[in-house]
This record gives sequence, structure tokens and C-alpha cells, in this order.
Amino acid sequence: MERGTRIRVKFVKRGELKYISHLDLLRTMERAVRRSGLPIAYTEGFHPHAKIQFASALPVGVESTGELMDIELKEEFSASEVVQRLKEQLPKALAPHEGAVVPEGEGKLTSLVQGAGYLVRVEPVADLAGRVEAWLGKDTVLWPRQRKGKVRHLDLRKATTKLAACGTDQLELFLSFSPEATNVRPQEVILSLELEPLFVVRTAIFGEGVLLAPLKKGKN
Amino acid sequence: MLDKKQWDAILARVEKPARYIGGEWNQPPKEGKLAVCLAFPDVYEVGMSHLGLKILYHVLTQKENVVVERAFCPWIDMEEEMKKAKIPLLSVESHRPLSEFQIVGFTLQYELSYTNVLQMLALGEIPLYSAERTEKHPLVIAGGPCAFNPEPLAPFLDAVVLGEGEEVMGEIVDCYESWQNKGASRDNLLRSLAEIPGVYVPSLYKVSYNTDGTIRAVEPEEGVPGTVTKRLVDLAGAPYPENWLVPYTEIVHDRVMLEIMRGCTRGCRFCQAGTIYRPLREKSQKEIMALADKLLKNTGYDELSLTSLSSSDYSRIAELLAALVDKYGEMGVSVSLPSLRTDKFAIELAQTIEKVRKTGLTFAPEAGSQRLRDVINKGVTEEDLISTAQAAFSTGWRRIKLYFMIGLPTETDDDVLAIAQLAKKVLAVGRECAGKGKGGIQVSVSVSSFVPKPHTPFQWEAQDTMEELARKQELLKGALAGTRAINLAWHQPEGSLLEAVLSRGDRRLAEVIMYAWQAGCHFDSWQEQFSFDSWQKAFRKAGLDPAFYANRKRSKEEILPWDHLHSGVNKSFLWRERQRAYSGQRTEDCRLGCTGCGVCPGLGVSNSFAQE
Repeated sequence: MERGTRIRVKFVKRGELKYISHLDLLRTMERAVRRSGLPIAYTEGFHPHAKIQFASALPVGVESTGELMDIELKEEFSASEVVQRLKEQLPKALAPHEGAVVPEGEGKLTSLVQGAGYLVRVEPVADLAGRVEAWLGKDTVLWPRQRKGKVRHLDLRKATTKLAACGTDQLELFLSFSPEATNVRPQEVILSLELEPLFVVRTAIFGEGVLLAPLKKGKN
Repeated sequence: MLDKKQWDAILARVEKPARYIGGEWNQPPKEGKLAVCLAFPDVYEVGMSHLGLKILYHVLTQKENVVVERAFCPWIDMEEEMKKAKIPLLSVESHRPLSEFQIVGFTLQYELSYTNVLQMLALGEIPLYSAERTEKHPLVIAGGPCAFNPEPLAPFLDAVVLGEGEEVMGEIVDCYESWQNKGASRDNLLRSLAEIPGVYVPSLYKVSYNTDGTIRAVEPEEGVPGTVTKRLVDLAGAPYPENWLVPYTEIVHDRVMLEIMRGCTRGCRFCQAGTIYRPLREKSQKEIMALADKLLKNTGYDELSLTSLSSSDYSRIAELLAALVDKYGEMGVSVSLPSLRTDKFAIELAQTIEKVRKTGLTFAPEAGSQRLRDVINKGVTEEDLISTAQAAFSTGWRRIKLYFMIGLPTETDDDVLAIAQLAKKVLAVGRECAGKGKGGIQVSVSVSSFVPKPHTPFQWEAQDTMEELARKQELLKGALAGTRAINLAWHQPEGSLLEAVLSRGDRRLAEVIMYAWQAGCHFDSWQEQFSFDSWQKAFRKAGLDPAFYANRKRSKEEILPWDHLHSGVNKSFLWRERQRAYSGQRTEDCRLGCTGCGVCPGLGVSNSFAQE
């Protein structure tokens, strides 16, 4: 077999497409790659799947300016060509805008990511900063999550590595993906502050303490 | 104007918001003065899986001056949100209210979707009754298999299309346009539409009844045809989409559906599709290959289904499957057949397409005993089924699903019990083939209740009462009790009764549908939403007895509500087939010789088979 390539692609998820689920996104990307004619690699076995991996599932209803996915191809390709060909097959609301070849030996994308940053807009509150401060002062903020009839309590405080008020109606929030704080949704943190999230956007995904910026890490 | 902020807040709250956002890949950017909305009276995932919708969407997209959009029935949670926010039913594409379209076309695929038609009209702020609509309102039309007896919906529909819509849709749009340019009355529009072959305008026919509730006469107004005959297209080169909308959210049939032929020659006596889609028309292999290529390329799907009423009957099916697997197998595309006939050849086909992944196989013997299979003209013998099962199990399949019906004409308890015996024989064959230590053989038995349909040899028959159907289900459950490797699924008799009432109903049922809808009935085909109680109340309120429609045997002389709607198959042929059924006589597949149904000479067509 020829030497393959892994390309890391940064793309957006905007507008009403924030309402498609992670599984929907996976299918959509797989079909876009197939339409583009790029020689995608498949897993072995009874149910072969296209080798596309996402950094982290984005909660339904959250927009993003910088989602990351790794696409494994059977042949060598430049990142810019992959980005260009995908762009032609995707709606603007899912447009890819950067790409880089992932250096050989680098781990799976999911193993690299450690957290993500969000911007949240809420109805204006006079003392937003005070409310945030009080929240940050707590040791734990438990939040119930129902799944298949069972209730589990997540510690929102533990998962939050940064929370800051910007003015009276915006918040900046960093959430860690560490195993014990897994899958906390930004909306849950906002609700626990007794605020209604009006708009949530993921602005960055972090790994090993630095921004996973594909262009810096690999060659173009 | 739609308040974007409010809409966004609603989307954030409802289940599966992707149903309502539109913007799917391949959405045609189109401008035009005449806006047509194709309305599917069920949720997005169901409607988007319907091939007819894709074909008509394509046909109308090609037409100059026309903008075509879609609308589906919002699920209960969305309905409540929209009502609260006073948002009318919107199209998926431009979020335009239904009432702002010039033409709204519903597809009638199953009877239990009828209340959803009213639901969508009401949410769309369109007057429900045709008689209440004016020049300012959209023209409301309908088509699809249930349009072959649209009488229960007659007062709600302006016009109904009989048969295949590819050509007639364009004619309707042209007729509408020239009417618009003339600035004439709505009555004038309806009369012009009635002149188009295949278009039925219910309001131009007067129905009168005898004291016993049967129909006395169906009288057309002057200058209106006494009989409307279905439309047909030449399938060779008929318009077929080369790309289509790729949904973001998963739909029921989430794959490329490629129609390889239309019509079926088998002549099963219970089957309405087998009548109304006659004659058989196969697409050429070349055309199918070319379409497969374009569709796979333009959609990015990795699954291709060869659809028709009986795909393994396509005359070049083995060559076609081999060619498709050869060309696309390496690209990870899987090919599937939606239905298999019951013979070894079918297993060979299944092997071509499921080299690796052997999921389950489905067969439809329809009846348990040979006697009853002869009555319904299902040309499958027990030997066929057993040897097919043998071939399947010995080549690695583990699960077989069998479809049956109960309540078929002339059925006895022995016939019902024969279903259990047959299922057990199939299981025994499976265990024998699998050998020792290779357990896991599963036989699924799915039993539905027979619903007599218009335009079939059984259109005169009585449906078993609900009590009788329930008793037969219990009988079968008892006979299969303790056999864990056979699992039994059945339908609720209440739903089957309602289906039987509506499928052979007359215009008086419109009142029942209205009352049921007013009482909150919609999404009747969704078991958790179905309220039989509300329907029963609606029948009482309208003073109509469901048994009159479902459980009554009609006489040969009776005027049936759909007698003026012609499928091309003669009523005398249907009666002859009914008589043959009662004497247990089979009628051959019409590929082997004409059986005289009347379609070919009557419509000037013939069966046509695939070229290379």
C-alpha cells in the first residue's frame, strides 16, 4: 500500500447547523469526503467506517468557529488541496478553513484534546461578575444529568478551568475534558449560574496546554 | 416574517431540530413566480425517504418559472411550540408559510396519514374544505396510491392525480399558470384541471346514496368525464433525479434509492400496488448503471438500494448486481435489494451483495397453508420456502424474517396454525444446517391483519372483525409459545380496522375524519399517538358504522366509491380473479402469458423488459 496521509482540518459549525447531532455531523463529513473524491481510508472488518475522527463532540445547539477533525487518506495529499476539495462539498455553515498534515507518530486527536473554550451570551445581569465570583468560590457544583432513567451528578466546578464575565451579558468559559469531568456541556454551567444561555459558541479546542492550531504543528 | 430569534429558541427546545432546518446538500437555488409545495403528511424522516417525493421534486425543479419546496408534519412538540408562538406551518426550504404557495400537493401513501393532511392544512392556515377556498388560497391537490380512492378526503381536496405524476404535474402547473394569467374564477380553474387526463376533481361529481347506505349514483357535472383513468409514463428515459437532497439527520431510508422497474406481473390478489402500477416496465441496465454513478457521486452515499415492487424479478438482475458490486464494491458501497422472492436464485443474489456481512433475510409467504397461498395467488410453495431457507442457512445466514397476513378471505384456524408450523419448519432447517454448537438461529414472524383494498380482486371482501383478528392472533401466539428462537410481531387490530374503513370509504367519512382530527387525532400511524377511542366517538357523532365499511361483503352489483376511477385493470377481471380465488385456482404470472386484466390494450401499453 502507498503511504497515506492524515490531514487535520479545522472547520466551523454555524447557524442552524448547530442543531445537527454529532452523529449527523459524522455522516455529513463522510459523505462530503466521498463526494470530493478524496481517497479516504476505511477501517477493516464487517462494518467498515471511513477514518474520520473528531476532536470532541459539540453539544447540539452550540456553534463553533474551530472544530477539528482528522481525515485519513490512502494517498499523499497536501492539506490545502484537502481543505479546498472539502470546501466545495460542504455548506458554508460547515466550511473548513485550515488544514495541516499531521506528523507521523502523533496520537489520535481524541487523546490530544484536553479542553475547550466557549463564549456565551445571556440576558444582561447587573452583577454578572459578582455572580461568577461566587460560583467560582464554591468547591463543587453538582448538576443532575438524566440518562436512560438514571440520574448522574456531574461536578461542573471541577470541569471549569476558567469562567469570566465580560460586561453584563457575556461570559468566557473554559471546560476541561479530563476523564472525571467528562462531557460537561457549556449550557449546564450557565444554567447552574441561574442564567439562560441565549447563544453559545465554541471558540477553541485545547490540547497539552496549547491551542491545537494545525498550521503551526504540521507542514502545509 | 419569521422572528429568527424566536424560531431559534424553539429549535433549541424541540426534539430532533434537524427536521426543521432544511439547507440540505443539493438544494437547488431557484427563483420563480409559481411556488409549489410538496407536502408529506408525516415527519421529515419518513417523508424524506419517499422516492415519489424525490422524483416530483426533481421534475418540478427542472420546470421553468417554478419554485418547489417541501413541507412535513411537525412532531407534537414542535406543533405545540409553533401554536404557542403563532407560527404557521412553514416550508423547509425558505420557511415560507404554506398559505403563500400557489399549489400545495399532498402525497397519500397510507390511510392513517389522512388526519395529518387536515393538520397540515390547518397549521398552514389554509381553509380545510375545498368549497371554503377562494382565488387567494393555494390549490390543494393530492396523489399517491391512496388517491385511487380519495373519497374520504374528497371535500378537502381541490384535485386528485391518478397514477404516475412525472408528466401530469407539469400539466397541472401549466394549467394553473394560464388560469392565473386569465384572472378567471376558481371554479374555472377546477374545470380546466378536470380536462387534464388523470386529474379528478371531486367537487364536480355528485354522489347519492341508497337507504341502506350504499351508493346509488356518482354523477359528473356536465362536460366532466364520467371516468378518470390513471396516468402512466414510459419509464425508459423518464425523468429521474441525478442528485438529490442529502439530509443531515438520519432518515428511514438513508441511501440512494434507484428504481429499476415499475409494476409487477405476479398478480397477488391482495396487493393494490400490483394492480395500480401495471404494466411492468423495466429500466435498461445501461440507464441504471449511469444513474447509479451520478447519484453515488453527487450524494456521497455509500449504500445503493435497487427498488421496485419485486426487484429480484428484474429480468437482468444477476448481471446488474454483479456489475454494480464489481464497480462499487471496492469503494465501500453496499448494494441492497429491498425484497427477495422465495427461491434459491434469490439466495444467489443475496450472496453476491452480502459477501461479508450476512445480516438477515426477509421473505413473504403471506399465508401459512398452501391452500390459502393459492387463494391469494402467492406463487410460493412450502418446498420453495424450505429449500430457500436451507440455501440461506447453509451459506451463513442466521436470521430469517417471514411476513404473513391473517384474516385473508376463506381463512380457517388451520390456516392460521399453519403459519406456526411453517415457522417451526424453517427453524428446524436452520438448526440442521447450522449444525452442532452453532446456535443463534432466529426466525422472526411478522403478522399483519389483512386489509381489503380498492382495485384488487378482494375489494368486495369483508375484513375480519377486530375480535376475530385478536382471537386469531392469540391462536398463533399460543401455537408459538415456548419457542424462544421464533419471535412474533403483530399489528394492533384497531389500526387495521381504521385502515380498512378509510381505504374503501366514501365521501361521508370526511365528516368522521374531521371529527377525529378535531378531537386531537393525528399521527394515527404512530402507535403512541393513535387514539381508537377518539375515532369511535367520531364515528358515533357522524352516525356512521365502521363495520359497514370494514366488515361488510359487497355484492357484485354494488357501485363502489371508486368505480369512476380507473386503474386500467377492468372490474370484470378483478371479479374473475375473485371467483378463481374462491375456487383455489392460481393465475399465472403475466410474463408467461396475458391474463387479460385489460391494462395493455386499454391504455395502449405493454410490459417492457430490460435491454442491456
